[in-house]
Amino acid sequence: LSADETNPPGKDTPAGGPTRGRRLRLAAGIVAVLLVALAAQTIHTRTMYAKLLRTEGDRTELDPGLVSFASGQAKAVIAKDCASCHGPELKGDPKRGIPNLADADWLYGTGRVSELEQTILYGIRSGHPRTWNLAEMPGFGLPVPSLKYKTPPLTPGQISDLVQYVRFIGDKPADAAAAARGVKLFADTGQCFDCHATDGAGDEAIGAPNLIDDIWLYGDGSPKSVFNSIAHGHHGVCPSWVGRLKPGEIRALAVYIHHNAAKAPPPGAAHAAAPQQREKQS
Amino acid sequence: VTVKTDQASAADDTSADGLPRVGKRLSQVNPTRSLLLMSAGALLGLFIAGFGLFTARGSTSNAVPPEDVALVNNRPVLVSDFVAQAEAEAAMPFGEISKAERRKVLDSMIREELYVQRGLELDFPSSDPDTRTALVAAVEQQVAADVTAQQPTEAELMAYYEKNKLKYSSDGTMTLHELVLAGPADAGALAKAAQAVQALRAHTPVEAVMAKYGLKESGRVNDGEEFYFAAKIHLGDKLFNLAQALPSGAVSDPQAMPDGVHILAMVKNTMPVALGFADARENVFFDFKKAEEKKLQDADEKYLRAKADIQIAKEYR
Repeated sequence: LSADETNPPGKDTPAGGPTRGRRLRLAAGIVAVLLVALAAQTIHTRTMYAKLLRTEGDRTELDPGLVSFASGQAKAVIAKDCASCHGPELKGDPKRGIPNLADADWLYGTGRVSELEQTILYGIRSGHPRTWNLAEMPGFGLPVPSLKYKTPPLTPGQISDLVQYVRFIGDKPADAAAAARGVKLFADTGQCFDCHATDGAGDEAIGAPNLIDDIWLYGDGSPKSVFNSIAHGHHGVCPSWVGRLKPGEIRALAVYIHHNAAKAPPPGAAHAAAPQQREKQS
Repeated sequence: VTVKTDQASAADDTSADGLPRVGKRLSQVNPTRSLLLMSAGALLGLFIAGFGLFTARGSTSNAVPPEDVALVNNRPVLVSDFVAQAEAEAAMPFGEISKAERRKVLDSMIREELYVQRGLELDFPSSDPDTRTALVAAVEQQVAADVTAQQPTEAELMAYYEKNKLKYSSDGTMTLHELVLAGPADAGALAKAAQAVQALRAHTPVEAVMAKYGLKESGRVNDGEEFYFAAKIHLGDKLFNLAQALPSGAVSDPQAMPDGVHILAMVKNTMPVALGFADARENVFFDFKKAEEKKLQDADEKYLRAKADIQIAKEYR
């Protein structure tokens, strides 16, 4: 230290300590380094977001660096905006009809990044003109089952027959006579086949759930729970996030959800062909 | 700028070989040059302004943001929308779609954007019913977006449930016979019906009573078990109210109706039971959200009306 950089004894700093000027320079240096680091971090984040957005959605998984970046960014968004419904681990809640985003079962599409991105952008029955809203489960125990489809209400007995038919095609113990009556309701009166497909395997193009696997969006698949679904209908909503989240955040979410989700369905939940279909195939 | 005398200036203007020295001249005040420069500047300004005003290209940016596939008059076309559109049209994953096909899709999207912009310029939204409907829905959605995105707490749901408890009950169902003694509902018919009621209350089989007293099923409630709403539609308000109060196994008094005397024999009446919070939660959640959305939309409409100048013709007020 030069003579002017140390305090003479008796001043406001200990003898031999740095002077006020030196401390200021030190502080300025630290601030400058922090600012540079912050700027570097911002530039890095922006560059990574740009790279993430420029990469074709379904190819992002080929770049581990991008996936890692997207995951880091997505976790903050999930905690802020998604966890209140889907939970912090995105496992959903069948009591509220909130889908599990961490398993390999997809209601809309097949879980590709580009499909997930569209769902996050425009939501499900969100009211946005581009939202997913083709399918809506009527409430067959209501005077007007659906405002969308012309379908008549069913009696409690008919709904029970349908429940038995759904159990039958899902390889669950079922009342054979009731299930036989249910076939006609499924394929004719109730027009269930129109969304759930003739074999009950659903239609991922419109978000119609598969009824023959063992994954239930609402409830636990018990007769009571299936009865309630048929009698009261369902029309869950996911908000549209376009304009509310940045495009980069939406892409990061889609990449993270895709990457985080299980790649194989849980044991026993593989899509099974309905008994009639199996017979036809054999 | 240094102002020099004419003499000094003249001396500076020429070099040793007699040619003008440009560098020096530029530092001198030259009214003609100033005027020319000013005019050129004004013309350039006018050109830029005109370009910006009369062609959208004037204010464009050359850099397309990474989330967009194109900018059409600065309006973005999202990559995600482009990918979805291309996949929908080609019916294959985006990675397998040829460059030419992609370009075709992009061109059609650009065309659509151009036409939308032109449509807005021509103010089509004010007259096209579909566009108006879509706009109303979009604004409603935008107003309610916060409610859609935020989840109510359990305490909020519970409070809503407590306030609206009467709304939440299980479905009432009934299975019954509606027997009719056709003809005028005079004293004779009513007396005969009363005898039939006595027999039914004495647990005589319905078929036997029908045969003995000449009663017929109305055919309106023959579907077996029915939800209350369906029974109400089938029976009409008066008979439904009567049926609703009958316990399982009970038989109503004879009812004089325009087409004859009616008797209701209730096989099974499952009355609605108030649901606890756990069973009603899904409906409570849905109703709570609807109510919150409605509140916001009403407030928004009130605000819009307050700031709008709405004149209604005298005869329609």
